[in-house]
Amino acid sequence: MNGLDWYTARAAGVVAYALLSAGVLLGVALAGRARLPRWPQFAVTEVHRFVVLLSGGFVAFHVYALLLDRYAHVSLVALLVPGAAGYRPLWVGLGTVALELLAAVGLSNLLRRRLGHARWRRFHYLTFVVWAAATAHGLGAGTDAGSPWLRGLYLVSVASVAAAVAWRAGRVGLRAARAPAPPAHG
Amino acid sequence: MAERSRIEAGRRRVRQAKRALAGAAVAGFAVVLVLARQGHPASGRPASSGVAQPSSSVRAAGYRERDDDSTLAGGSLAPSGGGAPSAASHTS
Repeated sequence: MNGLDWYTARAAGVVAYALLSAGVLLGVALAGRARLPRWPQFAVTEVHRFVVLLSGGFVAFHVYALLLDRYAHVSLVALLVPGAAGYRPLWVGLGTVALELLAAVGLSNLLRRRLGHARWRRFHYLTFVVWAAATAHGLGAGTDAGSPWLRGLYLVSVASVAAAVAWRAGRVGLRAARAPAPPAHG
Repeated sequence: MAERSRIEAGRRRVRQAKRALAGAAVAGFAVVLVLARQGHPASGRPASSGVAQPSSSVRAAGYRERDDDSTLAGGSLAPSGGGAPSAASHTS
C-alpha cells in the first residue's frame, strides 16, 4: 500500500476539520442572524447543512482509511471506544468523542420536529464540543500537526471561531441590554 | 414577483456555493494528501518542522548498540556521522 491509506486518512481528517470549522462559522452567523448581502437566511442555512454533511462524509472517509491502514493499526474498537487506541489514546479518544457527538448532533437534526426547537437548539450547542474535540484530536494525534501549513490551518480556524463566538456573545449581550426591564412584582 | 426572483436568485447561489465547496474540498484533499505524504513518519522524509524524527546522534547510537552485539569484526558498521551504512541492512 506504500502508506497511501495513511496519507488518505490524514488528508480526509484535515479536510473534514476545515469543513467543520466552516460549518461552525456559518452556524454562528445563522444563530446571530447575520445579514449577508444577497444571501437570504434560507440560502445560508442550506449551505451550512451542506458544509457539515460534506464534513461528515470526509470524517467517514477518514475513519475508513484508518481502518484499512496497516501502518496505524487502528481497530474498530479503538475507533468507537474513547481511550481504547494504543496510539496516543487521549488524543485519538477525543477524535472518537467528536465523531460520536457529531453523529448525535446529526441524529438530532433528523429528529428536530420531535425534539422541539428549544431542545434541539440546546443540543445543537454540542457542535462546539465536537469542534473543540476535533481541534485537540488533530493537534494531539496528527503526526504532522507541527508542520507550518497545518498549524496555519488550526490557527485560522481557532481564531475565526473564537471571533465568531465573541461576535455572537456581543450581540446577545446587546439584545439583553436593549430589552425592556421586566415589571417589578410586589 | 420581486420576492420570487429573490428566492430564485438565492437558490441559484446555493447551487453554485455547493458546487464550489465540493470542488474546493476535493482539491483541498488532493493538496493535503501531497503535504501529508511529506510528513509521513515512514516516508524517510521529515516534515518541514515539528515532526519528531530521530536525530542523527540517536540513529548513530542505535548502530553502535547493534555493533556491540555484532559478531562481525572491526568497526566498519558503526559510523559516528549518523548516515546509514550500506552494511547495516544486512545485520539488522
